[in-house]
Amino acid sequence: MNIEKLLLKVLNDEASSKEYAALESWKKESEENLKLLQELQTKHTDIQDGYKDYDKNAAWHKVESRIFQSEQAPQQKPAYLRWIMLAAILLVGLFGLWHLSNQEPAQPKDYKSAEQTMQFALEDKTDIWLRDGGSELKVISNFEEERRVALTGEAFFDVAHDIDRPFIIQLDNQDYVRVVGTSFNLLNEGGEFDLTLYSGVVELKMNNRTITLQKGDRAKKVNGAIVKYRNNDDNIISWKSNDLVFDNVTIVEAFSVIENHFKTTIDYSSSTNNPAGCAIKSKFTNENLDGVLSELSDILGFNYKTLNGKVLIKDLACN
Amino acid sequence: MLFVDKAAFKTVFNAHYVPLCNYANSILRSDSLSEDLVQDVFFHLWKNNATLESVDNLSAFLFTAVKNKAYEHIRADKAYKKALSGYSAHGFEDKTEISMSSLAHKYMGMERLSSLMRHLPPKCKNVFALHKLNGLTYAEIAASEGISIKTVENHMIKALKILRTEYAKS
Repeated sequence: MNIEKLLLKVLNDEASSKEYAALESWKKESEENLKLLQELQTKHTDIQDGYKDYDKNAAWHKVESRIFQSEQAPQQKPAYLRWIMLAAILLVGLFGLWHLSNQEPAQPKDYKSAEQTMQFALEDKTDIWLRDGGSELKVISNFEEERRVALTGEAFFDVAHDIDRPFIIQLDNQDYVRVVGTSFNLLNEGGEFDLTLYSGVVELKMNNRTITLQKGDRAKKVNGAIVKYRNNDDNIISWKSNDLVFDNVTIVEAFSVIENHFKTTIDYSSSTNNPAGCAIKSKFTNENLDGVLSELSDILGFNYKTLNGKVLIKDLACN
Repeated sequence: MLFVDKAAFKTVFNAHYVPLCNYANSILRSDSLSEDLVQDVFFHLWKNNATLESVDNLSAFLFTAVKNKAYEHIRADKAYKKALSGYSAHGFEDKTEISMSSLAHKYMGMERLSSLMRHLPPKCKNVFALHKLNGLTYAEIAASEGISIKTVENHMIKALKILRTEYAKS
């Protein structure tokens, strides 16, 4: 008898004395076995009462950046040090004035993501998530009159509200996105962009035209044309949230979301007669590619294998 | 010093953040308030590192800190005061001497199980929760989910298999 069946019987109080004896020996096998059983036997009636998951990674970044900022803040120093600091501030101030009068941009700051999504706050407390895989954000103004940055790749912006200093994202030499305080996802790559607004209002300046976006709007530039529409894709920021939501979408749509999320290619051409006939309703959190495919294959009954970063789907039949 | 480096601090943060938020939320009934409050507690924990040498039960300490902050917030909140109109806000406070370490223990236990459960596929997790947490029988689950009793059992077996592998990893 396998151990899961045995565990189930014990947990449901259906085990025979022989099965209890088998359980005893399993418990003795390792400390882990014993602990897991205790864990499962504890009545956690409160969990059904809505025990929730919170995003501890995002929270950690916030705490960390707060710690970082507080450590940059000046502390009470001995008198002579204060004089030195005062002198330093004066010098910096003078330098700053000279700097302004020369109309030079401040020292640019670059952020570039590597294999992991990168989260940080700018000096104005705007939170930014840079998508993994070499997305790049450059700070190109000193944030005094305006907050101007440039993006290559994909990022989610939660812009700190500051009506006196508009936040501007340069898309290329002339086109830009202008906001005051809002949150949105922006992909800007190879002369095309895709912008989805989650809160607030955004102005898109294209060829001296202004396009205003409201919450829930999405604007895209593809092949030189700009389209604006209501966003109905739940998975735009799955790269940031790690949630994949399929709410009655066809398997073809789901595959395209999965391709984007995991940066892979899915080939289902060999197997299906009517891929639009398969509807999927499911949700994944922090799941890897194999976990998602395995669950979908359980639901729809197809086979898949992964080869050189590509996924090959077989025996998918939708009616 | 309690935390030699930020890595140790982060470990404590990761282990406690979600259960502390759940506890704060049980008092404040607001996710964003709860998250802000717990982050604040951790921020000050790091800042006051040096004074924490004597804290031996860290979990209980954190839960107590969150509890105090949460009630502090309730007392300071004008809306609550208005709603009470004349009554003392202290009336809301839990005066029963439930030990904070047993409360911490309870929440940490819930976190362990639910973090294991996060590895289950949605349907499997649903069946497991209905059976294990809500106490429904296989027959009841089969009826409410529109699946066969055999499928319910299969989901349970699958759930236990995954939980066992994940438990070994954790």
